[in-house]
Amino acid sequence: METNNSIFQQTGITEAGLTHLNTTSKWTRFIGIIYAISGILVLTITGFLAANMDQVAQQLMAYNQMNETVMEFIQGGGKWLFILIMLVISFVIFINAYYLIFFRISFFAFVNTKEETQLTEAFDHMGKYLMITTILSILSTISSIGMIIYTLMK
Amino acid sequence: MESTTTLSQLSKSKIEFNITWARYGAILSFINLGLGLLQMIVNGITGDASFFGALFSFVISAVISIIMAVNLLKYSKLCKDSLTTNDSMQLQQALHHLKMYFTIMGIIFIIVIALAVIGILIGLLVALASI
Repeated sequence: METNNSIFQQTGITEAGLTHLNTTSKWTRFIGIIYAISGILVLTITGFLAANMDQVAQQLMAYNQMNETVMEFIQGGGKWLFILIMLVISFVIFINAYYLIFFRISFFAFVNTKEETQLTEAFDHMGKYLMITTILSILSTISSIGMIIYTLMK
Repeated sequence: MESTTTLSQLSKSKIEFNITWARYGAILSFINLGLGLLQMIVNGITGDASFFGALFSFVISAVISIIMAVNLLKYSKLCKDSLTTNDSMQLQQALHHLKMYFTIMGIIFIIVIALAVIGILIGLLVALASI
């Protein structure tokens, strides 16, 4: 009589698998910290540029022969559009940092306490990180298609 | 026999969530690579950019992207197979590929930071020399 062995088996993570996850979590912490520092840098640069936008625009105008219309746009609504874009970029960077660092924190808690809920949380953080990077890839794909069309139409 | 940590149904559902997004992410990496190649060809034809400079940077980024995408795809596939067959060894292999993915990413980050530091130092030296 044929029996389905899978009914009696359960998927598990071997010791070697846990070692792989531990190394992964160390790298995710490192990458997460770099992301967090990058986010802080983006925010700092945005604040600095926003505070000195008039001088920056004038310098750019001198170097790149920007016309008056572009200058007016930068000094008007363009400044706020720039700040908004930079804030969105830094927010995305911080979200990535959060999931990567918390993957390490959850996995480390699992290693210490052996509570399976911590491992579940770690996989949850990893899944959300992968989801965000995939969404960003979709945006990158759309912008690449846009650039190709723009170059061909030019 | 090696001891294993048994996964709950909730953990499995979270891994399934990982599988889905890792697969989409890997496929999109390949699509972006193709689009990058197309963009480089278009720029080369229209004469917008230095073709050989663009080719050099494309080859480097393509090799890195392919290695990372393959690791992500293997992680997704092996995870899916392990959940289907209840094979812990396949899950172990899948986690190895996840480790490789983040190791490569981490090394790239280190190289980029090192290059940025070298760039800043050269910039400072040039600025100091011109005073």
